[in-house]
Amino acid sequence: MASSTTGEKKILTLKGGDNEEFILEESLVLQSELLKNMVKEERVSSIPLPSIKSKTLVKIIEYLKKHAELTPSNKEEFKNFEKEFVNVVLEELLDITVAVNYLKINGLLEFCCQAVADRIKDKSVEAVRKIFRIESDFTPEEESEFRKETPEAFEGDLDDTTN
Amino acid sequence: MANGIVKKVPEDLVNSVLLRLPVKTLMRFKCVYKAWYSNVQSSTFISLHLNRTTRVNDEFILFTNSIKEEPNRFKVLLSFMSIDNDGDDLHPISPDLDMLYLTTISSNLYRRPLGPCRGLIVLTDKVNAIIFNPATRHYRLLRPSPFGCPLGFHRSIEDVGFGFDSIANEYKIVRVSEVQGEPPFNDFNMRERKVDVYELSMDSWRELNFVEQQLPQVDRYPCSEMFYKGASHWFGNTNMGVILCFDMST
Repeated sequence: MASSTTGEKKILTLKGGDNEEFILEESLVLQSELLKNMVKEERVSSIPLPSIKSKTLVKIIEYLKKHAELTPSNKEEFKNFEKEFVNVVLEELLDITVAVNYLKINGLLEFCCQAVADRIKDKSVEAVRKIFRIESDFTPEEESEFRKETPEAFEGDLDDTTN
Repeated sequence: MANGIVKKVPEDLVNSVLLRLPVKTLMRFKCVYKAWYSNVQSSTFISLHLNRTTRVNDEFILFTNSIKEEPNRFKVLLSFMSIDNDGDDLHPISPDLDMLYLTTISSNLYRRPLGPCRGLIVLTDKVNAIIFNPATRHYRLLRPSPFGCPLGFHRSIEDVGFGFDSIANEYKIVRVSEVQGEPPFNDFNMRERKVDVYELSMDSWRELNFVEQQLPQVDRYPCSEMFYKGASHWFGNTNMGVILCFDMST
């Protein structure tokens, strides 16, 4: 019998950054444009993803499974799952978002970007620099000029935390 | 952390996140990093940001108030209000803004605000016009139109339209005026229609060469002007119910 018999589930191995292996059905990873192309064009059965931490990969696979089970009747449940999914410390959410961007899982990417935006929108400039690991390239004079130009953007309770 | 290079998150992803932030946050975050600063002010970013669906919590109601300062002199204040989530109480979301360039002689604005069109609003009194961005609270006095009229004539503005020319990527204001003879020098019946167009990026006015003199007058009741599908529309003051239309790409 040919190996591509319909009904037979193809198995794929994903290898996370710390060499941990995840074995899953190939159909699940087709939600990722990147992996889909690898599977379809190169017919690989094991894909190394050295830039993605295993912890992050676990989360993403969890999402792929839930999303594959999505039907009109459990929409509400899925929405709650999504909410919980991004309810992690900001550092972890950014890791997930970067990985999802790399894997090109478009629906999830939209959702993660919005989640990041919602989490940082009330943050102070200093906190955002820490979160994105950016060093300011403005002089202190230029910075105080900004604050004078649009004082209302710097008013209110700004959040200095990075999580 | 080397030389302020964004290490953790690739630039295109940062961009996708920034596009989802409210304007007020962007005004603050533009001083995070020079690349962010130039990005959020680029016309590409602004178009993409405008095209994203407005989230309900970014919406507010804009009030124009006239405050009496002297007899026959009112200053114009803008208030930014929002409705509570649970109740129906209005509460201010940011301090009132004094429109320094605008005054009126009665408690009513000379003309109702024009727009919003792609995020901007135009406010006018008899002399000045201001273009205003309610999201950033920035406003700018427009250069006055240089087109007057000869001695012995009177020029009056009949109507104003505000819109966006998506071909030239340009905000424009169109003004229809009438130049009329003033006795004793000239006859009332000497009338001429003039149309001038203001372009925001140039901050300048130009007069159209060929104006159809038989245009009906524009009706001056509230809400009689609207910008739709690239053109300003007005109700014409005839008993036939005509609509005048000005294509903003003109």
